[in-house]
Amino acid sequence: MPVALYGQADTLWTANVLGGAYRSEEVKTSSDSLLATISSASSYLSKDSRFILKQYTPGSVVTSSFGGASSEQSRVLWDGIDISSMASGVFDLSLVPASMLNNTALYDGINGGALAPMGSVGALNVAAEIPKGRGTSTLFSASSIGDRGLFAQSWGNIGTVRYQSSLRSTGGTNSYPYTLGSLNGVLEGNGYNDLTYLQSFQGKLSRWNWESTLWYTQSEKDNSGSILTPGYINHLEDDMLRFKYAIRNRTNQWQVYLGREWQAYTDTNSPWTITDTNTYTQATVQYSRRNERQELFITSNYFRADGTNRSATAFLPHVLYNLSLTKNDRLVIKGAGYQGRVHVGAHYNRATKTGKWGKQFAAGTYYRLPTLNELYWRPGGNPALDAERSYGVKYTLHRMGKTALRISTDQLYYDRMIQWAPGSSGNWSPQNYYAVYTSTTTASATRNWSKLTTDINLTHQYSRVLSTASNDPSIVGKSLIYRPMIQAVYTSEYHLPVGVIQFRGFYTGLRHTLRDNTAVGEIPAQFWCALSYSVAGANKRWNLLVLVDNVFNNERQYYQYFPMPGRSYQLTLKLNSKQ
Amino acid sequence: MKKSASLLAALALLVGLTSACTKETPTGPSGFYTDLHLILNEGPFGSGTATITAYSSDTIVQSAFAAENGFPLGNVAQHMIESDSMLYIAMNNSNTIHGVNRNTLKHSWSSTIEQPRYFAVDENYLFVSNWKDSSIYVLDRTNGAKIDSIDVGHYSEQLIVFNNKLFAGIGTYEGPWTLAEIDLGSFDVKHHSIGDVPNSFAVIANELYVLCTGDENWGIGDDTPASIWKYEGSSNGAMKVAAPGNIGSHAIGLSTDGTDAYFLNATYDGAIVKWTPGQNWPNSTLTLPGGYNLNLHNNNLYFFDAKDYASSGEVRVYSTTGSLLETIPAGVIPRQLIY
Repeated sequence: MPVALYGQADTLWTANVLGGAYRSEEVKTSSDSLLATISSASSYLSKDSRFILKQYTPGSVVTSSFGGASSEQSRVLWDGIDISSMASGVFDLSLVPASMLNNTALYDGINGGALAPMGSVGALNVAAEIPKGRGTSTLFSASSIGDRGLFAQSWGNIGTVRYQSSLRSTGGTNSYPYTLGSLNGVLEGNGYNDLTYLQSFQGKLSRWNWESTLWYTQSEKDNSGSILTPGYINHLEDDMLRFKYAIRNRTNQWQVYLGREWQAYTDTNSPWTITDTNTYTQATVQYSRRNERQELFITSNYFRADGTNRSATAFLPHVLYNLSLTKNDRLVIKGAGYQGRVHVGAHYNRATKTGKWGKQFAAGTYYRLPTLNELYWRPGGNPALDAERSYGVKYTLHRMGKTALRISTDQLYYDRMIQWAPGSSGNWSPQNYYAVYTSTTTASATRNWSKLTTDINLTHQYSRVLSTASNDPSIVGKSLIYRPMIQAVYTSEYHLPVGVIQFRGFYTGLRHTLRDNTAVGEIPAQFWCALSYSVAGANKRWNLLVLVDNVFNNERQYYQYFPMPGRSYQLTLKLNSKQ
Repeated sequence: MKKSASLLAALALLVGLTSACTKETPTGPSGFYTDLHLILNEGPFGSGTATITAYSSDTIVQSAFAAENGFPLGNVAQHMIESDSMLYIAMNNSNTIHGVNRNTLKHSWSSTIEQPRYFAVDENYLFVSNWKDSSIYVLDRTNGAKIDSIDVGHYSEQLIVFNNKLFAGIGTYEGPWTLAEIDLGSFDVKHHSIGDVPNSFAVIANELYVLCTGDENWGIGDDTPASIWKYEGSSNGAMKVAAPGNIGSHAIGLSTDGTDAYFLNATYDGAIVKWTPGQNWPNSTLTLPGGYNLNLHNNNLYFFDAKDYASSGEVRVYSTTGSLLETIPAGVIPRQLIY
């Protein structure tokens, strides 16, 4: 949220009480810090069981959910501006450098719903922070399954203006052997490459701080389909240019955001070569004003989606008011005007502390706005679609200190949840179709000894479809698809006399891919682990990381019949030249 | 004695190995699935597998093929056909034809044909239409080997052998659309005019009829209506015999009991209608909508309901007067039944 942005330039904003209550911290190890430089946000966040990430193969498009029931509900913000596409509703986290995540980037559960303008559950706030001082950094990485990566960054001052430039390029062939039950072979045809360029400037003009950032990503991804569809390859090209300019003083901030995306999708798995070319434009102006007790955000968004499948424009004025009622009690009221309708959300949060223990209770009502694709996709878009409405409560108990504990639970009831389903015309069409109950509970424990740090985080999810438009008995009472009941990550980091060794184990429970939860669509539970060793020298001028992923060659998949790699090896070298 | 025992063991091993290496061949009417009806389920598109549901009045086996063979059928099943105790299955996205023992569902062979669609068989060959090139492939029925191909000028759809000739609907959702008449001796091809998007064939009173879906453009362009055509002989070609007045009316799944025809009055969400040769286009329906495909056997109409295409569908059995007789739970997107 904006609190994070303000923190970069003005310590008064960092101390502001309004944002801290909503965020939750993560544990970052030495290996994580090194890998954050080259990793995508999606690879990096797999260490946290709160993130439900799905991808076909490494480097492929990633959809994500941070405690919500669908990807569209969880939003990605950039310094408080919602930049998840209002065309598709999702944000591909494989194209976000992990270096844009700080350890308080996540607003999980309904806290994210309170702060994200267009979503209802979970938000991830990314930022392009300029490192302190000046220097350069260069990183190379390579893996045994054909991944290659390069990252270069420089930062410093030009006169009184702070700057950073970074270039990140990754690519891979994804050629690896697989075994899934009785099926085995070599996966081919899932190559990818992407490039990210970030350029930031920061300075001061009288009493105003200003910051401008250019963020460009370019990617090309092949998808060979599942292993049941040999010879099938589709190709996705995506170019995204984002620019943000912010100016702020102690109480006021203006931000302007411009984003433009070109996307081309070619599908050769049909008698015709399907080529869809779509563009998406977002222009946002945001004014915010704040003091120690309250903050107000007035945002005006313009969206335009053009191309093969839709041609639509939307305006979305949005207001969010954040009030600290007392030292412990906070209230958020937000409202949006969209497609001729007004949508209002409200969120109450009470956070208290006793010694090392903190408690938080939150409750509210939230909305998830339909996307332009859902409204206007040709064929099948549904202009009559209404926003999803949800009602939720959250309770968090946490203990700080050497032994840190945290348990947080979100209970939500969704009304008019949007689902694509066959319409009366025969076209698939999104409809306000489901009433759903979801429960998400995360427990984590972190313990620091002098040389050893361990962290375990475990997320339990439960969902039930309570009713559908047709009250189909095969769906009512069933779990939502692609939500593992249990997801857990265990990390243990030990500082050796020379270097640091890390073990990380992952568990993702059984997932249903069919709405009636029948066995033929089940993806079995999967466990795998990674072992890494990192070492640094010359006052951290060089850092080396050796990683063995999926050490025991376990079978795993996020989508049915899309096997992820077995055992693989990765080498990362980072050279720093700090002054 | 010891030596004899060793020889016998070696012989037994040799016989065992030989039989293990021999491809499964039809064994006649014996096997667990012989008396079970088979429903072909497309399975979820892209990810997931097609399945076969085997059922009788007191037995139902979901995913029967995978259960018997230990591997999945493949992605998006399109069509299956039974002949001489063999079952042939076309897997569209997987670019595969499976030859399977009808009685045991044991896999016998697989053959690669890109984007296979529909089958027909004659005494000698298995014919396969496809959406990848302009050929109809001619396969050896015993092992799936490609023997020949017939160039029909465009992608091909439904096939039927009628009066010792192979007929094919030519064109997919894009024209030009024709009815191809293929001489089974010479494989010479003759094209006849037909309606837009030929969908299915039926032989009624020894006459060949073709149901055309009509061109659907999903609101992006104008539609053309469905139509029924009658084959009038090689010289005369096909003639339109019925069509709706509304260009937005479409139809699929022509089936017959030998006297009357039945079909669905819409794609993806059709209701069953009855039509008798000589009549105009039928407007009254026998059932509620919701049908994805329609089959007919022994005066029972098998109505395939794919529901939301993301959970298990069902097959509803109706009498030819529209009375619901039975509901059979099926897999994801059921599309065909072999009785």
